[in-house]
Amino acid sequence: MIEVKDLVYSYVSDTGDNEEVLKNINLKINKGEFVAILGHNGSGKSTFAKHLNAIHLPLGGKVYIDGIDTSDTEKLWDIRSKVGMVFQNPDNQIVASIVEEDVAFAPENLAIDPAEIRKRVDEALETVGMSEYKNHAPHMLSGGQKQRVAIAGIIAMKPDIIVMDEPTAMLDPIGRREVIKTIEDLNQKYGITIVLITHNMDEAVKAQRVVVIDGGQIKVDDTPRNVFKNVELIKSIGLDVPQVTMLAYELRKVGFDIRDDVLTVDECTEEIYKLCQ
Amino acid sequence: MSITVENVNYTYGKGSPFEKKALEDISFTIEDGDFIGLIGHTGSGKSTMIQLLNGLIKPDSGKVIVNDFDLTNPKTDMKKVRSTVGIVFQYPEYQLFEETVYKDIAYGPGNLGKSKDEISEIIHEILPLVGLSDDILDKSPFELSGGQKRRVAIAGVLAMQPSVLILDEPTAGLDPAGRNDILSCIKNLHDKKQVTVILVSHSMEDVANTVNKIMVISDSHLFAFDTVAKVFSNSEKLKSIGLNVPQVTRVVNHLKQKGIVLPGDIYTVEAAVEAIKEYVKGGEKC
Amino acid sequence: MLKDITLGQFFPLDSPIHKLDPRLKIMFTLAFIVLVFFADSIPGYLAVMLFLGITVKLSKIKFRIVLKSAKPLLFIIIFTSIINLFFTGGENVVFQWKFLKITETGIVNAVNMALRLLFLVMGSSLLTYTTSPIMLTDGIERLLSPFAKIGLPAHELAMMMTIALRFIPTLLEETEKIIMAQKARGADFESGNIFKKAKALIPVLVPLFISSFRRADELATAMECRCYRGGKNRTSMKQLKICGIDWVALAVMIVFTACIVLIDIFNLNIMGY
Repeated sequence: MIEVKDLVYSYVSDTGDNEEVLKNINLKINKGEFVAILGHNGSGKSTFAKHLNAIHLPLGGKVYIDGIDTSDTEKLWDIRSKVGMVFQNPDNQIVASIVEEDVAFAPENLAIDPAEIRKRVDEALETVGMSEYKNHAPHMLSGGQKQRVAIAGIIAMKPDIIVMDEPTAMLDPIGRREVIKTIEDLNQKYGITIVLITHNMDEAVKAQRVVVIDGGQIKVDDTPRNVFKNVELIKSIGLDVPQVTMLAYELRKVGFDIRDDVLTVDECTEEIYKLCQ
Repeated sequence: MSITVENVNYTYGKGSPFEKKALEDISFTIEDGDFIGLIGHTGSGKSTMIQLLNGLIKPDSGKVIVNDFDLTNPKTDMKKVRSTVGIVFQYPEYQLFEETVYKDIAYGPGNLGKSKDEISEIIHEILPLVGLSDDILDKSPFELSGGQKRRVAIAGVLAMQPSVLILDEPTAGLDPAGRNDILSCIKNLHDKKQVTVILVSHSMEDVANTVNKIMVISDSHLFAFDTVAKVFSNSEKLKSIGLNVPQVTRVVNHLKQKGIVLPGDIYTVEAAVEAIKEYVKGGEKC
Repeated sequence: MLKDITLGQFFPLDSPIHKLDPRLKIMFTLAFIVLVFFADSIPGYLAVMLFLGITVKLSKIKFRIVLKSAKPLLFIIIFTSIINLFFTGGENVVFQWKFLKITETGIVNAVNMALRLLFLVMGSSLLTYTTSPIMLTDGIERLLSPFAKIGLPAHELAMMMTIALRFIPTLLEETEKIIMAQKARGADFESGNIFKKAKALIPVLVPLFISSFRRADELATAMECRCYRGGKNRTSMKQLKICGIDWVALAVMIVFTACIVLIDIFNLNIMGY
């Protein structure tokens, strides 16, 4: 479980000013949840993510992972192995020039027994559907495949929580689909808690809960349905809603009686069908 | 003044074990002032396509003619071609290298042999077009925000005053606000400067909202090249190559299957609202 | 494309030579290089040739490819042979034209030099042809690890090699992209003198450096997130173990060494006589 209490973080900018990136954030994420953290570039969402595995330490407030304070330096490696992290650019997180060697990197660092590493590596590659590529060189893979290898490298640590910082931002639609499917599997089949940092509404819709961060503060924290129906608020902070939600919103604006929390193409079709009857 | 591509073939790594057909028998004509959305999967051949259009690579066979320049003719002055067809590559901010924004934008026109005064004039003219102000010119490009860097990079290509502008996923990695800003910039350029634009994109929604023609390349072949309405009207065909139509168009197609035929070609939210209004009103009359 | 160039040219085949422990292979290669210099007689060369021939055959790599490995060094081989051919003193002059003089010793020396270099190149390329880069770094790390006690950073060196091997194709691809982008901005990399050409590279090198630093920074964070804390207390998934085939290879190597040494002593005796 993740518990964030009154988290404050700032850094000194190039001009010498103290810039507050995170202002008093309070958040609890339960075991097994799939939470999307939505915000525009520069909203503080990535800085927030880096607090979850002690890459950044709070300047004010506390972050607890399963009750462990992330600023407890003695427990640093416990925290890092409990909270895995996947980044935007798959190229810059793959260390070895053979897929399975890369997946073995984290468990090797954790001094795990070689036979157990072998088992974990095979399982991790199986989980992300990359087993047949285990002897390939990463640079010959597609973006989506590389990102799945990076995810496998994290799963091999057997973390309870995986934080993904815009894992699909650099991928094409096929790569995106592959990675999102993998993330959903990890959450549903393997019960791993997922924190997905994104500015893509189509991905946020897949989560159970959406937390919108703007200007270093939490603006909304609710189900995707309840978050995206606030079309004006979402648009005002530089984000988007799914096109069908927008359509329903526009139809309501011109006087049609239509549900305001439409999220999918099927729901939208159903609602408009009712209107046209 | 137009772009004509005739029976073009291109193969990568000829003779090596990595040999791969990138384009097969491609022919099309782009008219002056067209605004085209170029769509295709990674590896479909669309990157090769745009490189052919300004002579960065030469076709194995066939002809590429841009504004009377025959790009397959070895005697053609490539500098002139480069200034006619500008390409903004993916993540263009990674090609910035100068100390100041001004110098970086000046690199392209400088290479074309433009004088200092001309360059200064050009830079001041294009800066507002990409939504930047003059006070940015003396800054280092590396201290700007991601969105600003990208505009500077786009300005660097515009400074060559191309009459055809190709942009390869200019909104990749940007958030929705940044994406909308860049797209409206491009639209503005097309409308005000009468530049022919080819926009490579993965987002059907973005393409539907901005361009007037769509070109689809699939598996090294020209799969479709027509108006937005025509291309999106055949959603089954697009689906067969793993591409989707905008969400709104999908809603309209589903409604059609249920017996509700909305009038007109619908691929934007605005068009859908209008069509539904009309349909319901018409229903009331009956 | 640039990224398709494989580095160190590893041929992933299934052969007894590929299966050998990389530590042994590295040691054997070093031993081979030393032995080639010992073998300076016709029986010696025949033994080396036989050994090399059998090893290549066992590795399942085409002989032609191994022979081709000497191609980049062909100039040096020819050059040193010619030097030896013309500038060795000696009694029995075979051919003389003005100051150019070829002696019997000269011919022997030239052939000696050419053969040795050829054997050296072929032997060491066989090592990289049959050992994956990762196994090679692993092997080097293990071989150097005893020296860690006297302060040699064996793990760090191996990690640097691993990361370099991993990023070379990525950076080559990136270079290609930047060149393409600057060309589209009218850059000219072909014409002009050497200074002009060097200057034209600045718009490629600066972005490349900046991107490399960014990559290094991101990679460091990613490695920290994966609990990397240096070589201490680290395990390895692939354990190197000396097994049956390695013992056979070791025996063969000992026999080969013995042969070369015996031939050498025998030769010396005759000559000394």
